Amino acid sequence: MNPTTDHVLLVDDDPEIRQLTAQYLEQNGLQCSTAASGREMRQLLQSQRVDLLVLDVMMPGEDGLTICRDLRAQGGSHSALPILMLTARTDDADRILGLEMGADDYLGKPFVPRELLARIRAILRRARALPANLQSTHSPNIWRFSGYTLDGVSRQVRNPDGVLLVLTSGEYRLLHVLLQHANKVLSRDQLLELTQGRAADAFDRSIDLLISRLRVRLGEPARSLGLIKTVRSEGYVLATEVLTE
Amino acid sequence: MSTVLNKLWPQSLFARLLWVWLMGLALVLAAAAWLALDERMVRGQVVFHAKVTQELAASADWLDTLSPEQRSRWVSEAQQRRARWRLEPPDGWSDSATPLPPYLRTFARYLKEEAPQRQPQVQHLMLVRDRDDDDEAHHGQRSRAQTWVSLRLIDGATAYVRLPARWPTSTAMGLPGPSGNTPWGWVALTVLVGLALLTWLAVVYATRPLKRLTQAALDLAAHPNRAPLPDSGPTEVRQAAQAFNHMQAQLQRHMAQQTQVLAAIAHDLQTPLTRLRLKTEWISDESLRQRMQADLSEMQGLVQDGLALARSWHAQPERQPVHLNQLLQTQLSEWEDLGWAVQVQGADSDCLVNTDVAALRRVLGNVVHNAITYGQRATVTLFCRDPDQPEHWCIVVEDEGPGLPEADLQTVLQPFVRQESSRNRQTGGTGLGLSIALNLMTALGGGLVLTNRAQGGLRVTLSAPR
Repeated sequence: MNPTTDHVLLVDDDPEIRQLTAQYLEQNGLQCSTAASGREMRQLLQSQRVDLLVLDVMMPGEDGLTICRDLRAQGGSHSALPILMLTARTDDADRILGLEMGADDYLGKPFVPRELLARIRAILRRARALPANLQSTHSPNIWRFSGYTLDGVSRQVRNPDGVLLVLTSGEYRLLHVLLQHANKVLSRDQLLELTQGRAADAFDRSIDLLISRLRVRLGEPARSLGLIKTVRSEGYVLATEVLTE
Repeated sequence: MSTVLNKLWPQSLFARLLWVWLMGLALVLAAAAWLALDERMVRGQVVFHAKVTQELAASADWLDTLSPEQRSRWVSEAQQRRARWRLEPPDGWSDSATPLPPYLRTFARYLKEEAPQRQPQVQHLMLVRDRDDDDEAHHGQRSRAQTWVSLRLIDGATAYVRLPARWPTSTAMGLPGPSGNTPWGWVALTVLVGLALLTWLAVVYATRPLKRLTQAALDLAAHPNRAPLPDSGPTEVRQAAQAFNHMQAQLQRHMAQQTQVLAAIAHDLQTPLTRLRLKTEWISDESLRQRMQADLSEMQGLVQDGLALARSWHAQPERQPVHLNQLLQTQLSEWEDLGWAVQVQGADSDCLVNTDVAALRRVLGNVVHNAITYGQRATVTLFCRDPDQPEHWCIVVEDEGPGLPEADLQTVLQPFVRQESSRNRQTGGTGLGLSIALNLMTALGGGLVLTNRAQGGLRVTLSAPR
């Protein structure tokens, strides 16, 4: 087996989906193992190097969310393992919950195989390309900055008056990334890597446009404070004290 | 005739009950009063007749004991309160029968049939119009018509007696005490006002539960999860409330079951759909593969929209403070990213409202998608205050498409109703978008109205409480 080939472990209770997906991924240059349950998955994780986990949420017995939380909580060798969740439920609440449990991305069922492949590659690329200090596997739920609040569970942002700010998913991801790396200058490429791949939509705009939109959305007092600063020829930085819960 | 009756017969139950009660009570009272008065009048007449007869008899007895000379002297001197005596017929007297007014007819009959044994020998009774007699001029018109009775005395002579000019009237006879002073108008007014007030109270009390029930039924149409009616009040009202609550519970159960079934189907379809989608990757005929994948996408869209529709039937809004203008600006960015030709107006100044942002974004997405699909371009206009309802906000989405036939403006909002016109699935989408939008707007306490623009194109008006 070629050790440089990325190894994906697929956990799904439906045998046919396991077999078909694995077949598809292998045809497209990935090594793919399958597990029908959390127990089988752990056995495989013990014995083999796995680069990415594809986890079905709705499984009898131990469901995907529980498995994901356990893996992240163990603090062992697999706590940083990239996880992509497959969910039959398309409720936003379920998707977000999956992310808060520590998943890197999610995909609704039935998925388009090509999109699954693209997401897997994006997550793997990000894991390789970004310096370790930019990779965050765990994210706090509540972020407070200059009177603003970002709630990572409900995906809601409020201004200092408590009024909800409506953001596009791209703008929200950008703000989330800026908060995770507050007071650090992030290059456009780094911002692109960090904001894409996770629920990437086909219409992601350039980072510059997203930044200018985000500034408009945040309104006052962010504008006067110069909350999001442009660093000439380097990138952008969110310059403020950030408190997390 | 019937139209007049129809006009008099009020439309509302409230007015009808009021009408029946007031009219009925007034009639009953009038009848009772009439009966009571009539009875008293008859009694009063009898008493009066008896008195007059007694006096006549007493006078006749007395005259019988006198010689003709004594009679003449006495008659000229006698001044009795109620009668005047003459021995010669008064002017205008005639022995033949003359028509009598009713009160005298009654008296004449009494004299003939019911007078006591010592009845005077009444020969004749007549009304004489005597203008010369001005003794009683102060009695007015009536004094000119005098009633005289001729009596046969024991020696065969005839005496004429004038009966009192003030013959008691029916009103005076009907009532005790000083006659004519009772304020009949005031009594009647008091009774009527009292009755009206009581009737009004009773009718309000009787119709209020109906109004509450009507309101509850209206609310139920908009909010199937409204709070049940209070189980209180009189038995009938309580039973009606219980029946209504029972119906509401049944409705909710039906809807919950429908939603569960839809959700279960939608969920269980995901696995086979996923398998099929994966299997299509191994179809070597590219055209066939693409067509099958398109079919699968359509099925998937139907499953997702169906699920969204089922959930929208009992959506519980989570209201949050948000600036509608800011929400529209964000939506505009998303639409622009999708390449849609959308223009947003009226979103320059802050418009703070309390609403469910996720629901509203879904509504706007569906409505604008619909406008783009059928009308190529959309104009979204925000009115922070609805011109028709100041406590509502209003967003108008207009397209430049062909609009809809008037007959379809309502039906297009019903789920799974296909239009005759070109709005069908060949243009993409399941046709559930507007139904979902309507349900979500209803859950927000607002509404969604379709109209055709005068200059062509469809106008969707969304409004909800601020």
